[in-house]
Amino acid sequence: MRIGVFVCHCGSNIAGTVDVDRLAERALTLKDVVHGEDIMYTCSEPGQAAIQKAIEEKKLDRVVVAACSPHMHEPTFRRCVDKGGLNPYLFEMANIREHCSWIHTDMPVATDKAWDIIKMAVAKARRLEPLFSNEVEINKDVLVIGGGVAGIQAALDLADAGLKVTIVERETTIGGVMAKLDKTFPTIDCSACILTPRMVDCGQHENIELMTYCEVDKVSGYVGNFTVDIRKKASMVDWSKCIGCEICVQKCPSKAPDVFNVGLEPTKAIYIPFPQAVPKRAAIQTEYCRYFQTGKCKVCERVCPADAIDFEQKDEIVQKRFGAIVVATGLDVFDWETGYPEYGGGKIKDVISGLQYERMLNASGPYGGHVHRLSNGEDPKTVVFIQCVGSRDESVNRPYCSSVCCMYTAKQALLTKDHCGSDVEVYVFYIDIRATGKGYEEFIKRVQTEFGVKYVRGRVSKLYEDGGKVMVRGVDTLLGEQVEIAADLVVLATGIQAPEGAKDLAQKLNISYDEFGFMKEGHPKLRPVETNTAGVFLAGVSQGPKDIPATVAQASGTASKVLGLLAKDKLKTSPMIAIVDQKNCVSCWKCIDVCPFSAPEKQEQRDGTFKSHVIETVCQGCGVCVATCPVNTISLKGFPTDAILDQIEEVLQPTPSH
Amino acid sequence: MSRQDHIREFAAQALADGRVDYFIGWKQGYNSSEVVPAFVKDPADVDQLIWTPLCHHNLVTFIKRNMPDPADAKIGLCVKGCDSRTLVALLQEELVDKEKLYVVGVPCDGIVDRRKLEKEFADELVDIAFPERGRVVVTTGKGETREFAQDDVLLDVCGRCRYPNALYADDVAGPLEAEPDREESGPDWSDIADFENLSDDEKQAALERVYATCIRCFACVHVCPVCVCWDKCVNRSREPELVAQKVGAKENLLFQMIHMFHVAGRCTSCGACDRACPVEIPLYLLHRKMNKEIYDMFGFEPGTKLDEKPVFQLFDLATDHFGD
Repeated sequence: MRIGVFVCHCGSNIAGTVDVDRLAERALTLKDVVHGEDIMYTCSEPGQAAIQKAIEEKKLDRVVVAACSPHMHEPTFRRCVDKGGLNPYLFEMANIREHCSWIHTDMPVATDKAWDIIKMAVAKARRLEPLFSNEVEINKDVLVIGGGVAGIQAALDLADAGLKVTIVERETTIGGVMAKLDKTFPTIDCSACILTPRMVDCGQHENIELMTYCEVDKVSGYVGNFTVDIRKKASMVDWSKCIGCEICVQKCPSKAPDVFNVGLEPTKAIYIPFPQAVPKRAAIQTEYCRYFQTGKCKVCERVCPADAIDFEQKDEIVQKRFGAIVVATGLDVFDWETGYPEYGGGKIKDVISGLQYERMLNASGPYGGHVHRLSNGEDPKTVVFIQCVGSRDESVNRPYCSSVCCMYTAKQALLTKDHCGSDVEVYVFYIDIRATGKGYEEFIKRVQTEFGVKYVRGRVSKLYEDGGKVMVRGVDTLLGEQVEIAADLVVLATGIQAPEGAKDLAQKLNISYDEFGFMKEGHPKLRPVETNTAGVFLAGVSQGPKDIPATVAQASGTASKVLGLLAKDKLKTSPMIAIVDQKNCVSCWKCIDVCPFSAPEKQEQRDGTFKSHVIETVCQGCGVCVATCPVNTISLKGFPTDAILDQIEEVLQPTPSH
Repeated sequence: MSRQDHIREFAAQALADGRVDYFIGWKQGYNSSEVVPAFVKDPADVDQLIWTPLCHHNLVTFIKRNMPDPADAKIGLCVKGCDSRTLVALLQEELVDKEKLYVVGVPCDGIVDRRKLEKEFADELVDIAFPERGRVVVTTGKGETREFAQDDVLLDVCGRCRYPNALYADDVAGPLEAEPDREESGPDWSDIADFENLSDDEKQAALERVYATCIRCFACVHVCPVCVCWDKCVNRSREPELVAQKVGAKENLLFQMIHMFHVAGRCTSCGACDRACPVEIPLYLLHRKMNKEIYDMFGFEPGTKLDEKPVFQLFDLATDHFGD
């Protein structure tokens, strides 16, 4: 065996605390090591050329690079040794930067530790064997979960590129939160006017299948070959017949809360969320339907001109196969009524959420765009906005910034002046203004100067009713004094939270989420739309709060990542996967229990007994089964058990002191 | 009708009906001071089956994975409350087939520790009689006879028993024993308190001392009802050689550590390993410590609920204990 050891300076990153020259020299004292060299930047072109030269000249059959984390450059060096004529898996990386030089200051100590790490890598390298990738066919259809603007944008980009896309949306229509908004900042263009054409495009696109009023039930498989069970929820309306005429809605005698209008006014038990819904189909909320509750009514069935009502409808599971999945599940608005009892907890009629105010402002909303007091219908003279309700507030477990409230509050303040006339008094209580997007700061300035909205820096401690007004008690921290304003209408800049069911979905998809339920990206900077599960991607607020421009940009980024993945006809699988040596398998099935990817299966043997077998294309090489197997008969290719034992023995050898 | 009569009747019936191919219970050993497991195939032989406070063997050991012979045999067996937990643990992992089992639960008021009695006498024991509930009369080879209160000579595990009745059984041999209020009081861990109070170094020393006399007969793992690897056991593997074949306290400890980790979350503290050890090592200690950790961290008691999985065999991103 002929091993080459290359020790990287990484400028002063490693060489600053580790005696790199000495280690390269000392490596030659290790068994089987025939070449030791220190290189300024091993990952650079000259660095890689030096490795390739040594492979050729010294006839190396194993290469060890002592440098940074394999996360950074393992792929680089695998390619490098591959080009140099070695199997790429005869390469081992020793991390003497993150694991050593960056966390130590004392050079002799750090050098000793680096030596231990290098010795271990060499010990492992001796046990490495050549590995070869396989190829697997991929399905090119894409599942987009969520039909808000993120899902719509990703779906359109993918469909335009020629891929078949299925959008699964749990409401009856696509559109998401953006469909509920009145105008959008900072340009004050109408939200529906820019969104609905995209919705229509989705509905009519030959490559897009809309599955609204559906939810993802179960996900199995792996990148390129996912199998997804989709639950078609019973709408009690045969959508192949429904023409969206809304006659049933007009005639229905049962009232039900209107989710689309954020509960401002009731809708009917049979409903279509809004006129531009795509698809425009009715559904019955059975818990409010008179027929389902009392057994009598069926008015909708009688008036339906298309004979579409079907009271016998049941949930149905549809199984589909996809190559990639985009998670675009959007957001819920923070539940301020529970979180902020000091703001009346929902008991004061003239205190409403930001999203409710959007519906109040909207010309096609329940009030035709008439801004008024919900308590008595009068036009407000004084309107107060309170920012950061459910954002940047640890007392309600929402320490994060929702990132859109400063801007939408400014927009709503401007629209208030527009709707109610310039003499209406508008106050905004804020912590600080975050206006970092293009044209945002200018917009805020305009709202403050041109429109005369009064910004008060401080928190509101209490809202209470007094003499027909909503008393707003807070503090102006710039003046350092208490303020109290008698308001007619108070709008809370309610923050963003992960939607209900986000964690459940993440578990079905085997992707991680943060403590607030937002999905975790592969890397916050370098893999912002990927997840740690290959083939599952993120778009929009599902990954974290963001505004519409960022959401759309991210959705297009996601689409390009999906296109990149599915541009190939076959996927190369990693050869570093688990393999069962069946002769020792005792069929205890612990591997099946612990595998997060359902890779092990029970494989029937010739004698009728069953033994564990790992499906190569499903295994992600995480090693959980390897650690779990009590008879140690599952091994991870690229990590032979003997190599690990050798590494342990190596590090337990006392290091001669520096 | 005594519990013993119930057992005989259930066994005879099951054998006569063809519900089971054989029935596993307990019978008298080489003299009336000793009990051994019994395998009965003929209904005419059920009279050899007995039930006394000496029936300590956890018979679930005989049905653990791959043991039934032939493989598709239908088996009847008796389980005490503690034994039933190990059966539940195997069922949780689908290592035994419920359909092929006929289980007779035997409510138990405590098993007598024969070793405790042996230590009371210089002579060998020839008879241990139970004239009535709670009384134990011991006779030695030289004819010495002494009486003990059953509670004074119980196995240590029985003193902490929370499950006197079987958690899983098709039939029950007579009326149930009174159960403690398990909601009210958690498991009793007082037996490992002294060990827990030691420093890390002292613990290491204590364990090495305890395991120094191990002769690696592997009786403990053979008798362990949830230890299922048999001749593939890594403790005996030479490839890779995780445990050195040489005898020494450190190797013995490593062997027991591996066993502990392999049954972590599955060990029900039945104590079979302790009783099987020919050199009387308190094997129980490590397992109890692990069980306590698992109970404290996950609130999990192995082998108590049929619809659970052993705690370390779950891949659950949403476990309450670790957030995400």
